[in-house]
Amino acid sequence: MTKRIALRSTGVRLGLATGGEQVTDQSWERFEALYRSSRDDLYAYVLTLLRDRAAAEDVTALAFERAYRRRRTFDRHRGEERGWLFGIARNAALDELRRRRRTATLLVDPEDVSDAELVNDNDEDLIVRRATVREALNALAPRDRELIALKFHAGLTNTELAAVLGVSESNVGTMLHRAVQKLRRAVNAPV
Amino acid sequence: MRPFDDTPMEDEDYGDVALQIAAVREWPREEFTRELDARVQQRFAAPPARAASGRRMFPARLPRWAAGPAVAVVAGGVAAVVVLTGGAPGQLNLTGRQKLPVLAQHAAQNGLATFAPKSEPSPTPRASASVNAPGAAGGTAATSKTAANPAVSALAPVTLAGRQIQSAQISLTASNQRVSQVASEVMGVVSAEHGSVRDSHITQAASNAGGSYATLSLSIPTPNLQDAMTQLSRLRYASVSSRTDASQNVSNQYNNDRRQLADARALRSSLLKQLQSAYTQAAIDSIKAQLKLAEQQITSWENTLSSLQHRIGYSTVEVQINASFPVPVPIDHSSTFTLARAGHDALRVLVVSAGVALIGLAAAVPAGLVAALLVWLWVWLRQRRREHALDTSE
Repeated sequence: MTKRIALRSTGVRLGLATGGEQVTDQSWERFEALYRSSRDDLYAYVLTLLRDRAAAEDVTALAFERAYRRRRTFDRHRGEERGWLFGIARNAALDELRRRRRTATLLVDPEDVSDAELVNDNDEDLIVRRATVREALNALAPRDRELIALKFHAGLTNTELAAVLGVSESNVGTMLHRAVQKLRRAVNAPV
Repeated sequence: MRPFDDTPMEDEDYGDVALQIAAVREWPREEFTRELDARVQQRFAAPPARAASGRRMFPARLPRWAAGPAVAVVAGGVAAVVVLTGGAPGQLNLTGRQKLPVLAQHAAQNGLATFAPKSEPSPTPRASASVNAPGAAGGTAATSKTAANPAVSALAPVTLAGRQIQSAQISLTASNQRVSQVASEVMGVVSAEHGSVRDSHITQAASNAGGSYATLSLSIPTPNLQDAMTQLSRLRYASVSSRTDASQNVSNQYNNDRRQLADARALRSSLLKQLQSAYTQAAIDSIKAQLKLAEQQITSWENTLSSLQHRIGYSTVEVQINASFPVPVPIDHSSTFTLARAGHDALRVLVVSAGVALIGLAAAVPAGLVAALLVWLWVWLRQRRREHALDTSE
């Protein structure tokens, strides 16, 4: 797990992408950097909302395409590009939810590579721990689950969260605190 | 977690939760990431089928924020067209006026007559000459009335069927020295048209400061009235400041008078026959007395009818001649260019443009506000539906 997080750290923040380079299309360079740093995070967030891998892939691609089309309309004074991108993805995911008019069901993971590795290591305790966390996440309300995803998958600050969700920053702090408390209680609840 | 995220956890230590969430995090399939990477590298180039079918009639879609201003601009354009085509309420344009009935057009002209230039005669005449002629001065109640200003050269009177009494009134403006000369010309016109001057009053001021005026009451044969009015409108040293034509239908009165006269004559004939067959002195005296009364009635009705026929045959024309005050002759600068004139013209253009813009804005601003409100409402409803979809996605 630690290894995977470390691998993801190869991504770069958007603002650093074009430093020192001769840029012909600055907006494209910035978008490409944004894509590289946010692709997996965006997918994880969208999957948390939709709980459908195929739909999550479609919405992720759609969100990046929309962001690409609208990249010149981005106003840095209104927030970071990462928050702007997750706002687009959120709207696309909610539109997908609304369009389907059905409740997405959590897919049973067909293949969990990390769990398979852990089985090889005979670390059953970690497997049980992961299942517990998944169940606790699924037991959360959709808004709490979305908040957790935006915070821990997307890594948005409270300011960016407030911009994406359309609430105040202090309200985001309170909501996040409650969601985390619920998650902790669910994870630590006796089986 | 976002790499290089130096953002603190907002006074909360969520490290344990972050590790737990990272442990159960889902990762995209490699096949999907490869496809998406390729699409990004191709900058989301549309597939051929989509590119063919996705051809739009318009080159680009307007951004949402431009919807309100776009609607406002369209509304402003419509308002400007309405204003420029003269569609403002309460304004009587030429097209609408042409569609009005004849009497309504004359009513509209009566309304405009209040704007005709008027000049009152001086209250202190220095020399006067008066010629009075006896005659009936019966006024007539106008059943139709028209007015004219100098721009109207010929005025078509309203002609009614049957017997009519026609009258007219014309106000002339002449220079102070030529008032008496114009009065003479008026009398010449009267003579040429076989009419007569019933009353005249001419005041000639000695100085050039104004004060001369004249009033004439004319009697013109009705068939010659229009010719006389035309000539009076074209006098050499005078211009028409206003003109009024009036006519009164007296057919009923004329027929009634004739019927009364015929009845009186029939009564006299009958009495004469009775007188021939009367034998007693008392009957003869009674019939003679009745004959006398009948003859008096006949005479009275004949006079009435004669007077009415005269009023029908001769129209009354009131002429007023006023002296115009000396007007400084404007210098013709049309062919010379001066900075003052150019500045004045530019200022005028600016004022007119600002007026048009203001009128357009007055129509566009409310329309834009309504459009902006509708756009905002639509966005709000859409977001609300999205949030509802999230809440019901349990």
